[in-house]
Amino acid sequence: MKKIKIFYRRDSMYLLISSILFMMLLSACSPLTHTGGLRSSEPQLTVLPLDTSTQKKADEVLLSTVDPLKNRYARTWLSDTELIINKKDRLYIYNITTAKEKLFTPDRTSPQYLALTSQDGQHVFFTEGVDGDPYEIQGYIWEVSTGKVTSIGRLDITNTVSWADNEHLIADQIGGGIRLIDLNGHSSDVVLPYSMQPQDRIDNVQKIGKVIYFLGSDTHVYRLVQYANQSEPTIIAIASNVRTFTVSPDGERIAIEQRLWNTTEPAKLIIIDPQGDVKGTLAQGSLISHSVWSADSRMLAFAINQVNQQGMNGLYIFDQATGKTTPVFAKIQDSNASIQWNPSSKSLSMYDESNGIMTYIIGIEK
Amino acid sequence: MKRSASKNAQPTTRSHLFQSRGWSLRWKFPLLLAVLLLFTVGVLSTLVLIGIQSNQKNQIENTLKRQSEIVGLTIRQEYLASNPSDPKSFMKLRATELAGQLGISSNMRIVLYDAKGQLVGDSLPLAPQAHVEQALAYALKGQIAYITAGSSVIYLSPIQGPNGLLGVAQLHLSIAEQQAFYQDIVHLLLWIGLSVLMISFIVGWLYIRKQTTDIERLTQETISIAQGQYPVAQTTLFTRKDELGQLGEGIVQMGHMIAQSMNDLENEKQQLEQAVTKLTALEQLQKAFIGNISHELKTPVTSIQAYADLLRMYGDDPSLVQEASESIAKETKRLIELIEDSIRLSLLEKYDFELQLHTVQLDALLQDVAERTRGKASTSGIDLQVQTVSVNMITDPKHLMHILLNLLDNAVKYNDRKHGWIQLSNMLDDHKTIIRIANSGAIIPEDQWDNVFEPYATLSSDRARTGSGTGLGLPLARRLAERLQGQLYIKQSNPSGTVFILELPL
Repeated sequence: MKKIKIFYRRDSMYLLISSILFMMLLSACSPLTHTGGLRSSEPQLTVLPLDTSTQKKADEVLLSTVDPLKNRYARTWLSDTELIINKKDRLYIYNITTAKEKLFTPDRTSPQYLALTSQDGQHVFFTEGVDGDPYEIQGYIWEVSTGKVTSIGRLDITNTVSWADNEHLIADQIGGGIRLIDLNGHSSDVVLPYSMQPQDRIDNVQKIGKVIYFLGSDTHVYRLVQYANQSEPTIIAIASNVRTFTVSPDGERIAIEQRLWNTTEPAKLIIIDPQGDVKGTLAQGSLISHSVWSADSRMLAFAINQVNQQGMNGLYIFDQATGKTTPVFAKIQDSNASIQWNPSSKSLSMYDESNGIMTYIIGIEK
Repeated sequence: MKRSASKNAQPTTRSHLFQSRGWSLRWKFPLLLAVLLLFTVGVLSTLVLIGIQSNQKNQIENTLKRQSEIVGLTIRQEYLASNPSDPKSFMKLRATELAGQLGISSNMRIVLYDAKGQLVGDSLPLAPQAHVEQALAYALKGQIAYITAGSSVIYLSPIQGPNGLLGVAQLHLSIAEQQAFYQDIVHLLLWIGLSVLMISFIVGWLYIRKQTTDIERLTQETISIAQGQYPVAQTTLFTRKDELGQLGEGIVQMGHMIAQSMNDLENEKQQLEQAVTKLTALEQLQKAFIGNISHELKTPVTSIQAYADLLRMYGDDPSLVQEASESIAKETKRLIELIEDSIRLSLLEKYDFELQLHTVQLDALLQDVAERTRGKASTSGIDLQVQTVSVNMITDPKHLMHILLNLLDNAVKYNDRKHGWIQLSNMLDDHKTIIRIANSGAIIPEDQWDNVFEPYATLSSDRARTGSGTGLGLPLARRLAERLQGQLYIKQSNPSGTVFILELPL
């Protein structure tokens, strides 16, 4: 009888087992000893590719100059070369080119504190104290071209005042409400919707064009718009759990520091649009403070204070053009640091009080 | 299990069909399963370990990169803030202070080198220095290099100033915690892998053992079938309904079919053997019949031929003519009887004649037969005695008459000529009547008692020459008796006489 072998069963079994053992050998031998040498008993050298070094890349911002000014608080840029500083409760105009300073208002004698230049650089809002009353503050507008000083009246130290446009200041009021102050010092209240209680606390008021943003006592950021055909303004909440926020000068982006209260979650710096849609998260840390948009709305400077975490406590710059966030200045230990861009967005000033009063004028390359 | 055996069993088939072929499936499958599991666990464990190692490596590299960037940025801004002068002078002047500050803030040992590779600052100046010349050479060229030795990583990163290299920062990071975690995972994977392997192997072995046990049972069943022991149709090998269960049912069905076929073949074979035996016997009988009838026909014809020759030669002799005519008549009569008996016997075997049943007074019929034979017997000097009892029976009287005349005729023919005797009697026995014909004739050997009822089977080869019988009388009588639902046989044959018995139902 003719025998027919249908398949070679034993040979197939040996082949299968041999293949598996071979694959096991390959899988066991290949990768473990060549993944960076973290487990090598012998010293092992690893060299990273050149592009991972700290050399400047074409699309990164980079620290180029640092000018320290001791015992001075940087307040606001008057121009690209002139910075208004505070030294011993007096405001000075400091020329960064000549490193010389002069009194801001030589004929005034009251203690001076804050200063904020309008967007066109023609006016400066500043505050003065009242002799004998440390809690009373008076606000003034200084006209750059003439040196004329116009009083806008009494302010509280908790009031936040910012330039609504080149002709108006905008400020929250202690008893609730928002007021606009013109260059002549005349004040007018902003009409609020009926749903808001007059005594509702309002903070961090900012105005871009016709839109007013403010932080409510419920930690929501509200967007308030008064349309001409409506009797009362439209108000919507665009973000929640917000500690501070900053609207870009062009009004397209809003940087919010979002924090969930009563948790150990780190704070997040988030970019949203005027409708409240999240565009991205830039950073997170124990404390994110003093986020400031450059005048051209391209860059956002902010300071991160990271407690109990490895990482840089210092100044970072987010560049909208590249989408990158770059550490720029490491020596900020103070959460009270104030950051100000110069008009051309090539330098910024900040101060640090951790080891005495020190203002840094930082030049960056883009 | 019930099974039927065949006469055609072939035990030697087993050695060819079921000889050992190596390891049993009971071990092959679990071993294959173990190898596959080992492979799977090995690959998965390797992938997990690779993932952990890669993740740790990335974390360490990222941490060190971030810290080195902070260190570099801090030194750069300090250099920029110090009214930039010669980088070498700056590093020489400030490196020790900066290394100390950065060491505290980063919780690492920081070592600083100037652009020439000279050590200018160390946050832990009393600690032993590591040999980092090779890595330092890379860092001085602007590349990041790190050395992994034991449980620490020494990371060297260039510090870029506004006008070129300021120096190199060397960071020391302990990775003992990561290594311990990695070892814990290795041990965990080993234990889990071995445990899973053992459990899976045992479970697999137990499961496969059940399968192989059933397969062995199937194998035994096929061996039994090969040896000619077939299962009965109602046998159930397994209760399972899967492929093995179906295979078991198929084998049982196949065995049953083979058994049936073998039985059919055996029956046909037996029938054929019986037919062959019968044909052989018939052939022998035919040969004997032809020989006998040839002889029986030839004897009277030869006698007639002889008388014919004598008459042609001596036809004028009246005595011879007288004798020849008598002899020719006698032989002719014998020929006619012989032919009639043959025809009658042949017809009797070929056709079933319808019986003409009537109520017969047997004792009267026996007296009638005796009277018909008495003259012949007296001529031969034979004493014929009749002793009957009155019996009424339903039978064919012609057939019965023929049987009895034949028997009495034989009793006269083959009797002792001088003191011969014949006894005819009947009796009742239960539901039959027995007719007994005894005579003082020649003794028939017992081994020939049946043979005398076969056609032409005579006792003596010269019987024909006595000129008395055709050799067909007794066979014809037995056939007729069987037609009457009775039987005819020799009860005894010895010096005291030969007794024929005819039993007939009432």
